[in-house]
Amino acid sequence: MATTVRKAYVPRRSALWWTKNPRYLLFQFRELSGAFVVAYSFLVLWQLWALRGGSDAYDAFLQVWYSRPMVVLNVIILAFAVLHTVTWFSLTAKVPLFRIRGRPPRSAVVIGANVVIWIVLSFLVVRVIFGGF
Amino acid sequence: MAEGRIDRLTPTVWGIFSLGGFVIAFLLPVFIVMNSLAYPFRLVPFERVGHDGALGWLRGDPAAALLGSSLAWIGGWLSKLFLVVVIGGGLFHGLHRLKYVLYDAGLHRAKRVLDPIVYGIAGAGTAAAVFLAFSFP
Repeated sequence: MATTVRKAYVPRRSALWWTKNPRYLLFQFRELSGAFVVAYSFLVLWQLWALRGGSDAYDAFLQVWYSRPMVVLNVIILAFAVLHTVTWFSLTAKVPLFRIRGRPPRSAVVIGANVVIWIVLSFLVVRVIFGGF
Repeated sequence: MAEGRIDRLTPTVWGIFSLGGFVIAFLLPVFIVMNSLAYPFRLVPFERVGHDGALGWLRGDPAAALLGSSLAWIGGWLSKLFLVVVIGGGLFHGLHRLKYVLYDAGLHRAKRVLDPIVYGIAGAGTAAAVFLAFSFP
């Protein structure tokens, strides 16, 4: 039996394809937010570990935690977290989880409701868990 | 996949991804602000973020002050659950997303290897969060 050897078609894609269009760029940044969220989770685990070590260990940790590069990193992480929040809200508007009188709710309503819940929950976290400013 | 077998893993991890997505969309920004940026931006004094301050909010002192002493026990549960939910949600959501970034980068052939690594890290991190958070009084 003869076998035919064919050269498979391999679509070519530039490694920088996502820089070609603002939408692709936003997509990549949104996906990248995952890395920053994961990084922050591990930073907090490190923080809790340091806190378990007692007063001196936690003071040493805070020296790093509140150093300038770390604060800059945390601002960047916050920016990605907010990007996630905004893109997630607009995503939930595209996936109707319930219907009102047989129709999916308008996206402005869904996003608005999400923003209201976001503000209320943020306020509650500041007040109830962290004791306000 | 063998015929007749139902893939329950894929919808489960997508479900957890979605749940984590909601949790961190609502709770992560405010947590970063309070835990990392409130002191450097002079929103709170150092006593609030130092060793005793951190132990204080983990113990649920602010909630106890608001709710009164009879409901004070809720405060400690609330702050620890908050930590577990934010860390666990962030790990499962973020690592799931990273997995697809890696697939896009050409690692989709390594699904069998990547899946256990990714969800293993997320599970171990969440277990560590439970252990660490609830190890405080």
